[in-house]
Amino acid sequence: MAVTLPVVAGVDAGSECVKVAILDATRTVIGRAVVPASGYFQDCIQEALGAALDEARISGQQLAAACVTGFGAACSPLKAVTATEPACHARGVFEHLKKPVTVIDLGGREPKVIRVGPEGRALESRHVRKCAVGIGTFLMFTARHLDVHPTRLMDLASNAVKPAKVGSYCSTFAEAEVIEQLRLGTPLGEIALGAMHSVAERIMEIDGIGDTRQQVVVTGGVCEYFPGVIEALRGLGVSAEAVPEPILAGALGAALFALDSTHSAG
Amino acid sequence: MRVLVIGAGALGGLIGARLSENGAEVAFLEANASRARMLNEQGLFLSEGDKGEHRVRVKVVTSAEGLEPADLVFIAVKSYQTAGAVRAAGRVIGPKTWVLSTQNGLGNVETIAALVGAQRVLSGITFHSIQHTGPNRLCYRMGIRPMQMAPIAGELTDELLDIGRFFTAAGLTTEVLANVDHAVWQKLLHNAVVNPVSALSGMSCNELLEDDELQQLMRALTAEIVAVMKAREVPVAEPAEAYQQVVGSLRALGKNRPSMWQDLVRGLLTEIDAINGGVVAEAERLGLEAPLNLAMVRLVHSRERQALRRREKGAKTLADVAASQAARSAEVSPKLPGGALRPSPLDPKGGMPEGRVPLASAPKLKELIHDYYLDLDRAGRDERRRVAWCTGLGPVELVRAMGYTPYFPENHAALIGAGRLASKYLRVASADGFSPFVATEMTCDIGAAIAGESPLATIHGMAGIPRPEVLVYSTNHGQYLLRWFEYYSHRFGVPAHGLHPPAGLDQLDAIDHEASVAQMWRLVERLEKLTGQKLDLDRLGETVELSARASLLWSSILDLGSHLPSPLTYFDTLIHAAPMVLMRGTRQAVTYYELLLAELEARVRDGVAAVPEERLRFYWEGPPLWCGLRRLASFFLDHRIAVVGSSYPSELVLEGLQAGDPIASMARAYAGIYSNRGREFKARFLANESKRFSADAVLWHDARTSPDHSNVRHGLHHRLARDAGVRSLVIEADTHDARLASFDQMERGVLDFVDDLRRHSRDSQVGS
Repeated sequence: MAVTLPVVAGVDAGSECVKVAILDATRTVIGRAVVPASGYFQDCIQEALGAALDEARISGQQLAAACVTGFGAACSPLKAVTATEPACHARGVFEHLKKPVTVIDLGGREPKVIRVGPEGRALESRHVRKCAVGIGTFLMFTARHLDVHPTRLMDLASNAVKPAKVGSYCSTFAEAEVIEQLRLGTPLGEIALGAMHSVAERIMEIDGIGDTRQQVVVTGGVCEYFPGVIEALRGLGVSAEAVPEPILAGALGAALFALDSTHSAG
Repeated sequence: MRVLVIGAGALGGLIGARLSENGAEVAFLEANASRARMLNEQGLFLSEGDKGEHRVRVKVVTSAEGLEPADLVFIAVKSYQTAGAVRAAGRVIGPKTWVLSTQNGLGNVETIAALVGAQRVLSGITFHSIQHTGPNRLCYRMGIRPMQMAPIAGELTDELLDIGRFFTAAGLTTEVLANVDHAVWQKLLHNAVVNPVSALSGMSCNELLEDDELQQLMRALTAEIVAVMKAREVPVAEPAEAYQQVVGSLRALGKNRPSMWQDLVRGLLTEIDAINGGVVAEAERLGLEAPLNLAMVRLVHSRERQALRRREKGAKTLADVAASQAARSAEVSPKLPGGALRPSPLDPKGGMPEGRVPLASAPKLKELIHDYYLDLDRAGRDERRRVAWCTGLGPVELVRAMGYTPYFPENHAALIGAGRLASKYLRVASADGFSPFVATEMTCDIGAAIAGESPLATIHGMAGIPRPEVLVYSTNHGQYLLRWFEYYSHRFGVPAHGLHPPAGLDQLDAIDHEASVAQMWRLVERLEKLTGQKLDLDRLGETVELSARASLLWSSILDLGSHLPSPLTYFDTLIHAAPMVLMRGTRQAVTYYELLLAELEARVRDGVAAVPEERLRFYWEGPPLWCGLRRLASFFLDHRIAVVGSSYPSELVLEGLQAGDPIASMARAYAGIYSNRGREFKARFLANESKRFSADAVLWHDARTSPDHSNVRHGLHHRLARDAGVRSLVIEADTHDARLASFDQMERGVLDFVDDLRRHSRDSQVGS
């Protein structure tokens, strides 16, 4: 496949996963990678970047620019520009939809509501209250305790008739509730569904989310692995849709910023 | 029409903004870079009288380099800056450019003509009344008469009439005349009579009308100027009638004061040379004398020199303190405490924040606080002296007047918090049965008391915190203060007496006020019983008078945060609030604040910024984040964010204290503090404050264990956004418990928000 130069990388170093998107000059994603975050961020970024470059069949030397975002952005081993998470998610979503929307970014730590303006800029962002951070991590915990791979939590949930009650505000207490439900013998599917509902409820409590009138688009790893959260959001009256490849939205936005930087440098 | 306005102050701002709204291509030349930055990013807000305000986008440059020659250059600087302003315009003044001055007094157009040639100069006069209500906010009343302008040499041409029509179309009704000399003299007559007399006496226009002797002086000044005008053949009424016209305009100006008074108060140069000096020069030219006008010039110059000398004296005091401190710290090694109190090991990362541009007053402050604690230490060991523990916003004047030496646990808690010692003592208090979610301001202090440790031993070498004879509190700043003082009451077996003023007040009505006063008298009675002495009302009056004076100075100090660039930050105010708490009601506090105010006013004059190259300004709402003060202060400095104001230090501005009515005025002042007010009052207060300080946003601290002070918890930020268009950022942390704060999360949140703000500001510029 012919690659149009310049080629750039966008890195989204999240607390649960490090995501990389490689983009060519036509704004086509020619390489991507998602690796779980464990150990130092530097190493995870190296690993993810290597995998994405392999898929794109190019070498690191061919990268014209890179842009890093996310929780571990400060650890980037690359010579790269940085951008904030809201800016990257807004940009990534706008690339798909080309219209102003409200984005809910559901990642490992802090869910955010981001208002995207007509040119794909993040106009305003708000995040969940401090005590409720760690929602992606909470779902990973739930999967481990229900003894399924994270990607299968959704299959479990789809068999459930009603969700189990998981009401705690704090992720740590919510984890305790999951274990309690297991002790009570609650069906696994109900617990899985209950966990996703609890996440949706926390999101609906984000300061200012009530102002949301536009179409809501969701991004982030949670939507990729746990689409039940999106269904739960719909159940709570939000018409939520996921963008294609939601887990990559931030990395895609970062890559677009990297592409900008090649224009301004030239 | 291409216009350059030199000086983006009140008059320049109004005229430039109006012309720009009418389609002129207007640029402002402004030497103050911070002001230029703010005007470019936020625009200029105009309001006519009580009508709502609207924003005008403006282009402000700090140098005229690269600008095209203009059709009109409008000079809107003080008369003594005229020559500099014309030179700064450089090539913008081309062969076809008109230069217009409507400045006060005489001699301005001559100065301009000497530089650009008389053929291009327009002399003008305006009657608008314009007030700054914030650094980029103007409130104006259109003049009672139209603006007038005329060429100082040459004919009235169509080109000039067009300029007049353009001004009129822009809502600035303007007459273009062959000569405005007469009108200039008419206005000069008013200014030369009123400005120096008001500035020297400190009286408002209303007050001047009530003072017979000053009226005689103004009448005589009028007669002297009318004589000069007649000799110059300016048509003018007889002195008596001319004076009646002055009286008429004084009535119209009401409680206002001319800007010359402001200038003198601020220690700035005045325009006296162009006003009364102009009259004197013209009299001499015509072979007359104007001795009263000359006297005004000399008196005002003398006041200008006094301000200069005060400044020099203040600088010398500060230098002396710095030198004596350096000598002392070289000589004496810190004394080990002799008592039971063990020093708290200080965390090197803790302590009060330091600015990047240190205040020269800071060593003096250190010395004062040290002296206060040494005296407290002596009081504790002296059988004849009595010690009372008091809340920071408690009725300390009464405590002093009853002969007690006050000690303030809240100040101790602030030291523990800022010293990052709280976690250690919070664990001690937890082990003693206190929940981690009650006010950590209280529990860290109690924990330290249980542990028998204190940073006061480390910093001031105190042998012990003196045992109280009584605890005096007011719950005006929160109910938790009562719990705190009850604990010590039980621990020491001493009484706790206090005030429980009605809370959540919007206005303080008669019933609430009477209740507050009755509680004050009950407290007096209880303290009299304890000490066996009657309250000396004169002594209380003197103490209240000193509090009132310190409070006024403190208010002026906080106001300076509205200047661009700001000479101080919120973090400075937290440090320098100490005398307001510890020494309220003493002469030391008054003297210190006079010194600090003088230093900060000098900073304003010299354009010294507390946050070099400030690019954003925040207003802090909610209690201080003591446990992260140092880190936060440098974080904001690193990102050139000036936190310029906060409701918290404003609480120490106690309004209406009166020596002649000490009990009732104290009851009113202490019941009326911000914390004790209702939601409506707070919403109004914050809307006004964020405008006054031109805050880009309000930063709300939701402090986990300080619900009484975390107003964001009840959605006040949404209310403020809706009613006043104020942007908000919420940070969740705590006053003293660093375990409840995630600095990383907080700082990332602020940076994301700053990114939002800047994008927002860029977008709205693009959109205009």
